[in-house]
Amino acid sequence: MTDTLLRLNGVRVELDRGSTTIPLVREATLEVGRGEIVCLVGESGSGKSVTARTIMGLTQLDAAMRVSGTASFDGTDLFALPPVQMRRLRGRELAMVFQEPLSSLDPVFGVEFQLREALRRRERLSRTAERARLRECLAEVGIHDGDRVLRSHPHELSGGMCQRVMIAMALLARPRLLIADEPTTALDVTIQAQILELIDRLRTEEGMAVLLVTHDMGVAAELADRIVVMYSGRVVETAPPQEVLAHPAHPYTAGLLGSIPPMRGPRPQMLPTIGGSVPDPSRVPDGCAFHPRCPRAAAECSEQSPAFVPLTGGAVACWHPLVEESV
Amino acid sequence: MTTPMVPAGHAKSAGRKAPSRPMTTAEDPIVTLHGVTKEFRVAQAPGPFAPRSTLRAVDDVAVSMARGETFGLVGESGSGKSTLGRLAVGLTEPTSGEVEFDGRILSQLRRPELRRARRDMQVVFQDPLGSLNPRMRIGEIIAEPLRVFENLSGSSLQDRVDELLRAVGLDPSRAHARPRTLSGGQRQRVGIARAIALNPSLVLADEAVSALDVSVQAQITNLLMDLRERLGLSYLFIAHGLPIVRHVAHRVGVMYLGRLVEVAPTETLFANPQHPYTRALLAASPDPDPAARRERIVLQGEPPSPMNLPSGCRFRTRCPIAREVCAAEAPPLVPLGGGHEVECHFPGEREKMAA
Repeated sequence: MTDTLLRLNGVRVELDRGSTTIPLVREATLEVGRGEIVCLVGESGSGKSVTARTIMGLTQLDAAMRVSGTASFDGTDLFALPPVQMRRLRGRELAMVFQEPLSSLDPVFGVEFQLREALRRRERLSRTAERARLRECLAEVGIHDGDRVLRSHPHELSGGMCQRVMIAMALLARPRLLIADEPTTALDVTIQAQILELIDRLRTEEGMAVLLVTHDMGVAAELADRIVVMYSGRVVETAPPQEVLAHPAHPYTAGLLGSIPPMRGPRPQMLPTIGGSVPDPSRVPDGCAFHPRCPRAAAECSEQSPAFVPLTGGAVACWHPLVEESV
Repeated sequence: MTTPMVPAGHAKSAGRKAPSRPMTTAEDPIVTLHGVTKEFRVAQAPGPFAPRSTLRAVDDVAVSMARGETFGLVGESGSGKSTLGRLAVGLTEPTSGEVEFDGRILSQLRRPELRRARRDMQVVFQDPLGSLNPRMRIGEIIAEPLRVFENLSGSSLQDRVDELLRAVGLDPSRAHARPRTLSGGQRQRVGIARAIALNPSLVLADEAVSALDVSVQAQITNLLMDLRERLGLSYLFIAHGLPIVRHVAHRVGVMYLGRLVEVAPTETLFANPQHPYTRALLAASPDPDPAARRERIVLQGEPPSPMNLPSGCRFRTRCPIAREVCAAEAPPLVPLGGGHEVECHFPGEREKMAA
């Protein structure tokens, strides 16, 4: 593919604990095309947030973290980049929005100061031009009383408002890739709907690519061009939403979808569940990490890790995927 | 001018707001709120001498829950759903109005009577780690209410604890574990075991499954429903996730800024929501069903401050169908039949009609 903006290949992140190493991400392989929204879905402990932070070069700031594999961003290998150049890329080409808007903004400084700081990483303008640019950017994220918000401190704003400010800050740099880690999880659904609509609009208008990390299949279904499912540190399935949702190939994806109660039609007596829970990263089972919880597990599943098998519009890492039968 | 669409037989004026309205009185109620209001005094600025203003978290809500019923309460943060839950189980006292639990008015009970009544009202909180004492072993946590209320000790206590652990799907051998060493789902099971230890009749589940991963959420939800059948529990089930509420609740109430704006049997509410806020909430709730064909209603703005409520209908500032009357008058309670009630001037309307 020529229009691939970001390509992760076999990314592995380990936490070095001296005597042992704990794999937090075992194999993250994914692609984000230009102007594409990719949703990285998984439960807590699946390694989705670590993957996102690793792309931004944030995991590497911790000396106990070992990162291997490759991450190529528009032809540049992010992991091989010297820190100075990486810093230049961050906040210009790459920007990130975190889950907790209130704790990602500095409580001591006003919104204007913090936005100005972000803007100056990109370009130097006169003070009046800066202010106009900030107001314009706030309007873009749906804040119409920009002057009031610019004068405020983060604690004077609601969570939804802070998240808009965070997104505005990320957008000031006109990044080519926005990484959003659970940007709406702390927000109410009606505010979530506004933020998701905003992200979708920015993608369309600015041609910005988005890697959205979420635990919510509903959010992914709404927004994604492609869904990437992670389980226990590994990407296990990737496909367009209509494929994943209608014909999940990995038993884990199917289990995850099954345990969400339906919003229409008859209500089941019992919700289908996946037995057990996500394994601790320090004790990942051999073979396919999902096999102890998998209804389709066979002998080979506990012995060898399954390779990626291409499917319609995607791929799956499973010895016994569900799709073979349904096709 | 157009006439609002009100189902035949329901004159709008019949539903004028009364101080204590009977919003769907249950036949054999376990708990009834009679026009309950809860106010908090809130400092407007930091510091001990700052001027204080009144925040009305729950505003004149009347509702009752039947024995064995699961009543789902939905709404966004600041809607007053948690405060309403705490009022219903006597964890906080109303500023005005009365809470009637099992035929007795809570505010009229003497301390020993209230203490006894508390056995019947238990709570499962959202954050199991924050609501379980980190220094106690899980066996001790579950044994504590039994020791305090039932004077159990020795092997009879041990047997009961083991039985409770098994009832919530935990191995009795884990009784010596401390909360930290358990997973989120296991911790919530401990919280549930503690809540059912005294055979309560009403359990308040305040966002009890909201913090859990989807696959674990399904396990805990199944457990709660299974216990409901086996022990005849009533739940007041508070959650902001609509799919889970649809799954567990018999009846659902929607709260907005302290008011219960719509109450209906679950199927009715989800299939035929009448309040514009309920419609927006349903439309905003992400749904992974590929067959979902939903209406797109993105509400503008944010809920106003509960300390500075809009005049008339408090939803009007964000309401897509608001008109002049909405600013002038508080909306009436409109009964739609079949236990479906809605507090709105123009229930069921989808678009603002030309005035």
